[in-house]
Order: sequence, then C-alpha cells, then structure tokens
Amino acid sequence: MRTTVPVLIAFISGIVLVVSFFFRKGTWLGDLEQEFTVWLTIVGGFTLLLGVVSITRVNWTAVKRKKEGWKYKILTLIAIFAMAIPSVLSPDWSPLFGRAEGSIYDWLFQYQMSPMMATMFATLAFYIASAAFRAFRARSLEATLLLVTATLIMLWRIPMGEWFLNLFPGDIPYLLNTYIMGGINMAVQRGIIIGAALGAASMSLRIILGIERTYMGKG
Amino acid sequence: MTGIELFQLWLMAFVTLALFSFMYKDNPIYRIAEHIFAGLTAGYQVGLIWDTVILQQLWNPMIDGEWWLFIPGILGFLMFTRFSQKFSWISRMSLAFVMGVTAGIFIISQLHGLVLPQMQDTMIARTSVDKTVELPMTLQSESIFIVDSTTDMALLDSLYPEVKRIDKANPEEYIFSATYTEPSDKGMLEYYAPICSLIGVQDTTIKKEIAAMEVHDDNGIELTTNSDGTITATYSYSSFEKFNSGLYQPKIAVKKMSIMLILSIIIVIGVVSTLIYFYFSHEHVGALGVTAKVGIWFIMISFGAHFGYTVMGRVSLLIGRVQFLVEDWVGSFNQLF
Amino acid sequence: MNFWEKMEKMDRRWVYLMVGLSVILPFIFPLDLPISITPEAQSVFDEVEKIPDGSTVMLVFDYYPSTIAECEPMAIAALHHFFRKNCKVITLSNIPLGGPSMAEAVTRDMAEKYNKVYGVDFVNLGYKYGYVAVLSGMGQSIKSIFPTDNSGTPLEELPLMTNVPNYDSVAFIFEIADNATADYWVSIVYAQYGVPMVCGTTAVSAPKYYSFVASGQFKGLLGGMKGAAEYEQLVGHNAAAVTGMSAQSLVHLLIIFLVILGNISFFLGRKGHKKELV
Repeated sequence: MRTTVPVLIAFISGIVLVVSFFFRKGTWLGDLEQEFTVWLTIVGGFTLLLGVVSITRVNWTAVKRKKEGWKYKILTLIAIFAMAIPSVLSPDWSPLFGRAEGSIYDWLFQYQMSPMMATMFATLAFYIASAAFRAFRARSLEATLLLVTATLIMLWRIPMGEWFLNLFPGDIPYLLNTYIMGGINMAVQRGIIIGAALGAASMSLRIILGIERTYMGKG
Repeated sequence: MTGIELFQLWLMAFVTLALFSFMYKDNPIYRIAEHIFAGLTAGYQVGLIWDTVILQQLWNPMIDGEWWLFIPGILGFLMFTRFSQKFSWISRMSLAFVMGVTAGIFIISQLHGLVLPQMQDTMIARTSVDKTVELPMTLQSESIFIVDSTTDMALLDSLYPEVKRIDKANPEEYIFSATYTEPSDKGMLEYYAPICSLIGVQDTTIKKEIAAMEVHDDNGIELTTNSDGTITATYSYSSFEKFNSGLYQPKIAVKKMSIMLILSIIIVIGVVSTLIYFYFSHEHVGALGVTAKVGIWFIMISFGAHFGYTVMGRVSLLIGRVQFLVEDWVGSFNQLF
Repeated sequence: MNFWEKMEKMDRRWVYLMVGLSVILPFIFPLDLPISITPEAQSVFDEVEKIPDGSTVMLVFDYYPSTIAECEPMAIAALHHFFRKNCKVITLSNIPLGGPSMAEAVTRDMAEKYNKVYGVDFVNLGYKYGYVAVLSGMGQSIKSIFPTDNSGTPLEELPLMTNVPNYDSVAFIFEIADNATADYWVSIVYAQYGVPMVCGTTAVSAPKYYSFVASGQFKGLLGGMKGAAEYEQLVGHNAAAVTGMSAQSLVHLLIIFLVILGNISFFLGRKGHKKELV
C-alpha cells in the first residue's frame, strides 16, 4: 500500500501523458491528458503552501525555544502574516484585501519585496568583482583559456570595449560573436543541453516504470 | 510628487540601503531587512496560491459543476500529512501523481523538443548570406488585391479595376516565378535559397495601413537549376489567412549563401567532445581521453564566455539599484528641501 | 611583505568601494556611447516587425523581481513594439514570486500610454503553478489552465480571449526569462505547436540560448542589459538599459583592470616569496 499505490499512480499518470502525445486531438485520451495537467497545477500549488507552512513552523519553533536570532524571526513571522492574511480576505470587504492594485499585498510587493529582492541580487556584483580580483588566475592552460575568453567577452559587451577591439584589424567583435559565442560556446552548451535532456528523459522513464523511487523519501 | 509617493520612495531607498549595508559589515539593520524579506516572500506565495490555485482552479470550477476536481483537491490536502511522522507516507500519493505527470511530459518534451532538434542542427552546415539578389519576375507587373468582408468592393472597382482579386475566405493558388542568371562560382560551398515577399502597398483610401510582409517559410517555393546554369524560382501561395485585406506587390529574391566550413567543424567537434567529457561510464584513456581533453578546452572557453556574461549580468542588477537611488531617490531630495 | 603581496591581501571592501563608485559616477557624469546591434537582437526586432498588424501575441514575464534591471527594459520595449503594431497582447507568468504583479504593473502602465483597453487589446492571465503542465495544457485549451485572468474575471467575459482557445490563435511568443522556463517554451510549445518565439534573457542565461537560436527554435535573442539596450534602440525608445550602458562600461573596465592587477600581483608576489625562501 505504502509503495505499490504511489508507483501505480506515477505509472498510470505518466503513461497517459506519453501515449496521449501521439493520439491527442479529439480523443478521450487527449481529454484525460488535459484533465491531468489541470490537476497537476492544483496538486502542485499545494506544495508551495507546504513550503510556507514549513517556514512558519521552523520560525515559530525558533521563537518559542528562543534560539539564536529569535527576535529577528519574530519579524519574519509578522511579515508572513502581514502579506498573507489580507491577501486571502475578500476584496469585496475592503480594497485593501485581495491582490489587486491598491491592496496591502500589492503595496508590500511593490515597495518592500521587489526592491529588497533586486538589492539582494545586486550585491552579487561586489562579490563577483572581488572574486575576479582574488581567484581569477592564469595558473594553467585551461585557466588561461577561461580568463582570456572572459576578458574578451567583457570588453565586447560594452561600447567602450567594442570601440577598443575595433582598433585591431580583423573585425574582432564579429569573430567573437560568430566563433566564440555562436561557435565554441554554442557547441558546448548544446552538448550540455543534449546530455542533460537525455538524463532527464531517462530519469522520467525510471519514475514512470517505478525504478526511481527516491522522491517517496524513507519509510 | 505626493506625500505618500515620497514616503514610498524613501521606504524603498531605506530597504535598499539597509541590504547594501552588509557590504561594509553585518549589522542589525541588515538583519531586520533580511528577515522581513524572507517573511514577505513566503507570505506572497500564500496570496498567490490561494487566489490562482485554490479559488480560480479548484473551488470556483467545483461549485460551477466540475465536481470531479475534488480528487486533485484531496491529493493537494494530503500533502500536509508530511508534517505527521505517522501519516507522512500518505503524501506519497500526491507526490507520485505530480512526478508521474511531470515525467510523462518530460520524456516527450526532452527528446522531441530538445535532443532531436539540437542534434539535427549540429548535422547541418552553418551558412552565411553573401548577397541577396532581387529577381526580375515573369509576372512582375501583376499585383494582387486580397479581399475580405471588410473590403469596399465598389471603391476597389473604381480604383483598381485591373487588379486580380483573391478572396481570403476562398483562396486560390497564386503562382509567380523568376529566373536567376548568375552562375555558380564556388562549387559545393555555395547554394541558393529563395526569399519571397508580398509587399503591402500602402493605400489610405482602402485600408488604413498595410505593413510590408516577407513570406519567409519555404512552403510552395521551388528552385530549379536550368541546363544553361541559370536558376528559376517558382513560388506558389494559397493561404492568405495571415494577410490583411489590401493591395500587394509580389516580389521574389534569391539569397546567395556559402557554407562556413570552419564554424561547422568547430560545432561538430565541440558538441561531440563535450558529450564525451561528461561521459563517465568509461575511463578517459586513448582516443576517448584525447577527445575529452579537447572537450575540456572547449568547455573552458565556453565557461569563460559564461563568466564574462555573468559579470555583465550581476553588474546590470547593481546598476538597476543605483539607477533607482541616484535618479529617483536623490532626485526626490529637492521635494524635501 | 612586498607591495604585490600587500595587494593580494587587500581588504575586499576597497574593491567594493571601487565597484560602487564606478556604477555611481556615470549617472552623475553620463557618457553618450554608441551601442552596436548584434544579429541576435536585430532578429528579435525583425521577427516582431514581420508579425501582421493586429495579431494576437503572448508576452511572458518569466522573471523574478531580482532581475528587473535586465528584464523589465525588454518587456517595456516589447510592449512599445507590440502596441505600436496594434497587436493584442496576452501576458502571463510562470514565476510564483512577483511575476504576475510585474506583468500587471508594466502592461497597464504601457497600455495607458497607447490608449489600449483591458480585455480588448490586452489581458493578463496571471500565474498558475507548474510551468510544465501550464505550457503543455495551454496547447489544448488556455481556458482550462486559466479559467480566469489575474484578477479573477472569467475568460469568456474578456473579448480578446474568446477568439484565443489555444496556441493556434497565437501568432508570436516573446518570452522574457531569467531561469530555465525558457527551455520549456522551446521543448514543449515550439516543438509541439510551432509558434514562432524569441527570447529576452539575463546575461547569465544568454550563452546557453545561443544553441536555440542556431537551431531556429528561438528566432532571436536579447542577452542581458546590453541586449535590452540594443532592442530599446531598435524600437526607438531609449530608456533604462541604454542609460545603464555607461555604468556597465566603467565597471567592466574596472573588473578587467582588477583581473590584470590580480594576476600581476599573484605572479610577482609568488616570485618575491620564492626569493625570500631562497
């Protein structure tokens, strides 16, 4: 029951999707495929809620047990509820509820969450500059290839750099775009895409056939 | 700028600076902002899922008659059994469904949508366009008027009595052809590809505006080499669905192309050697080892390009925030003082 | 400890300060730099130009607020381009953090400028969980995946959506992504339904998508802020991305200088260290 039923569910749902690809139009199999995809959007949606409940529990436990930094975690909990509670209340009761423009939810997104998220990632520019200075060394042939290419690409993608590259004969910007980006880089990325896609397809087959069961966890 | 707008702007600037303050050193202001941010991102998803999934996808359709949606609804709720040690196994049913459907879509999409087209393209030689030649057409003088129910036929008859009409609702095949006279001079490294266009002739009286339109698909285009070395391009078009009603002038052109031999070889070697480098089922010795070595050089160049682009990306994100601080926030100072 | 060794051990905050100044200064003293157009960005513009006026198109906001600096200029330029051609624009997002809110805010703002009416000229479908299922499901029926728009209005009440049952009625897709969702637009939507599409992506993802451009699965590509600046210039609405190019130039030059300096100090420092040991 604990293992066989999930394996059967995965097999049936997976096989329906695979077979219906070939007999999709106007068949009951196509309808079933469509129903399953809608169901996936519903069931999957609950996984996001599961994550939120989990975060809330972890923070709540930390506050209750007064673990290190528990005072900050109170702020996390307040922020979760401040964002979540007004958003699930009906906008018919107040324009501050729901998700539309003018709601608390939208206000917190526009003026708090969005600039914070953008700033969090913007700090990476400092780290990458520091890393380039400290760790980017021509220690071997491979490292030198990486370093020289990175430098040329950084030059090519800025107006000043492009102007500088054009001082040399042979249309270097064209060569970089055609032979490095569209040639060597494209070939490597393609190799990785093909390899990863083959891996994903075989993993999917293993899941459908019940060979791969790690998603079930222990027990 | 109103007081509220100013307050919002300063609030955004405050959280931005609070998070940037970590670059100097860890501090309580940063910690506060960081923890609020974590809470807001979690809370955001509650509102989104409540509205888009639970109400729009599940509850409303169910009360409108799609009662069978209780099945995914129950499967969704079963996910929460993960919090119970005793009943957590029940959530496997829901997970198995998610994994099964996703795997079913993946098998097809990864093989049909990625592996095959990518491999196919690797086997096709790269080309560059040497020049594009517009051809004199045998039916050059002929225009067509695509008509639909909106066309003012009386006006059309008075303005363009001679022009051939083609009804969008009942299209007939339309054929025109042209001959290209330039002979081949590079042997196998050269070939010709046709481009056909129906150029919309702007006429404000009949239809307000018709954009120039290039028919860039190969459907119905035929290129034949004649015994005297000239090339004849014949183009037929029978579906006018995507054209607006209006006057069109057909044109035909030939692209003279040559194969980029070095680039084509680089791509084949790059793809094969990268695949071999990541192939770990055999030890990389002998021919496999040499190819894997070439693979690592290719990979390093690609990763170098990737690094260059990553620097660019990260810097752009910083520019975005600085742009906000300098242009919007500092720009608002004159409102205060 | 010689000069180069000291350089090696320099406090990283000096580097941070230099980066910060290089970004700020060009906004105070702007430089007017010419921006060249790559063939990939030109293709994006040409492909949008080829769409018949008044066609229905999809503009996909598959990016997080974290990459707004790179992706939003692309979305704004695309909306200028689409609305100018009187295209009917359907927006949606596969991003659970901010995607639908950004689509709503940006599109409404642009629609106001072009006097476009919601429900007739543009619609925001919003977000649904599970992009693999969403992209696959819309092939048969958009309405079954999105029974309502982002604000809960049933699709049958929106005139634009009554004529768009699935991808067959969509002439073009403009995907703006900062993550792997772009792969699924290619592997599911382009592969199975053949809707022509272009991609605007962050610089981090751009090198990968060169392979989709080569295979014709993407008809064009905008890579990062530079790609956005190129497209802004082509559309004729220079904005945030073009302005940002001066700062981008200065920081790149700084980083290249730091890489060179780092290598010199590494090699000379090592040499000095060896001498001391002898």
